[in-house]
Amino acid sequence: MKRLLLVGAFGCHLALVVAGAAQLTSHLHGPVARGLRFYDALTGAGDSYSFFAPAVGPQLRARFVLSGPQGERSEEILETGKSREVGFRLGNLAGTIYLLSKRSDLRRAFLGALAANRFGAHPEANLVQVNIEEWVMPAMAEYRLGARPRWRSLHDATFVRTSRSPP
Amino acid sequence: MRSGRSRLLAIDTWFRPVSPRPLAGLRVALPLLLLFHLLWLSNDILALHGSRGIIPWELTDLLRDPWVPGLPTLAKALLPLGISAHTAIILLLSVYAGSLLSLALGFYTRLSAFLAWGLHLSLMTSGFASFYGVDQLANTFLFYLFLFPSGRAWTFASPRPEETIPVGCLRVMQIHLCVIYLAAGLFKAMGRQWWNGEAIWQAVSQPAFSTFDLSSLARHSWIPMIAGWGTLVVEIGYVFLIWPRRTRKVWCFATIGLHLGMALFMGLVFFSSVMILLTGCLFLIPDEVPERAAA
Repeated sequence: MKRLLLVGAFGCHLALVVAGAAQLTSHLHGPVARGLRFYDALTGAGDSYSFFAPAVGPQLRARFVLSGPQGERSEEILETGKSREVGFRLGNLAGTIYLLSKRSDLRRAFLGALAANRFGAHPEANLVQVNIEEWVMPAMAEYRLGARPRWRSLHDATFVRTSRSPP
Repeated sequence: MRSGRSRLLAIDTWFRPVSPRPLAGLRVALPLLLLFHLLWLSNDILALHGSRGIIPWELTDLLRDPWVPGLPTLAKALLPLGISAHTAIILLLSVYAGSLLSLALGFYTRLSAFLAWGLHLSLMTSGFASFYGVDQLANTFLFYLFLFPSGRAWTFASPRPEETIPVGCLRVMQIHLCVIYLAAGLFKAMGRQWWNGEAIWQAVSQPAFSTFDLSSLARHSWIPMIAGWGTLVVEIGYVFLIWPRRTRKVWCFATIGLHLGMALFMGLVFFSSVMILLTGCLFLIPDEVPERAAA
């Protein structure tokens, strides 16, 4: 009996793995779906594994233009000076903000968090423009004809420092 | 002779004793890799996960699953003890690192695996904005290491040559890995980019992934096209050709080659290492029980 239960549990778990990989569980709603999603989160059974599929999406990044009180300007990206692995993760932050872009309140809050982070790193700056950009890579045929890759702006927001904390 | 299907459905088939060495290999290698990764990120870990990180906890709390505790939840639980959020995060990360080391060394393996899995899950939950596929894979296989016995092989505990585990433990992990490759391959096959080579071209040309200047591939488009087909063959073929003994080694090495290519040309070193480790441990380490124990 114990063996039967264990095999049943193995079978149910693997059925959820297959359903998650086929992106079936993500379409469910209601309390059962919530329970399944909780189980998926704990065990990874609901993951979809669509790495770079069906197409390779564009890289996203957050770029900052910082301005000082004398009008001096500097530019940087989150990944500046970071290792490649940290760079992947910081790049995902920009991707998350883009995914949230339908909810303008959340998008603004995330962009504000990035701006606050840059203000913290640059106490001399009093204005920061945050740009979420995507890498536009031409197809091979276009590249052969002379087209070249470029960054295209998707969202931008400007934040002004209104008060300075005491030194 | 019984068919493969009826053998799979027979209850006792799942309990045939096998060597725990494949799971023991994973128990040693996966935590060491995660520990190395943690050290790799250590300079920036507080920026990614800390209370004063790039994305404040108030924002991550809005988007995470409320039922899965993230690091902030655990850190806030320590506040009544007079431990600040900043100290709590450092403490929790230290426990995570300690549990990974303890799991790799084989000390209290189930408890260590539980702590490592729980804290890895918390890290993923609170750092959801910056995590990617490899973190999910690590979570899944840490969960299995907590759930299934991995034996005393390659630990400081005195070895027991007769030690066995039910084959079902190993099969569940192997089948899960096959589902991962099949899903990854089929989703890729649904896109035109993987058939005409554009997927490889786009991937190796992105600044985040680019390790060499491969712009000359545009003039030799057959190279990325064949690389795209090769990826589809290896990933979709995995589920069919990793099981027969005759093709297992060849397919393991083809898969390892695919991931070495990703590490070399896309800089996905951590992701590739985890994938190589999974195939290497689950399919290349023999699971036969030593004859003396089987007798």
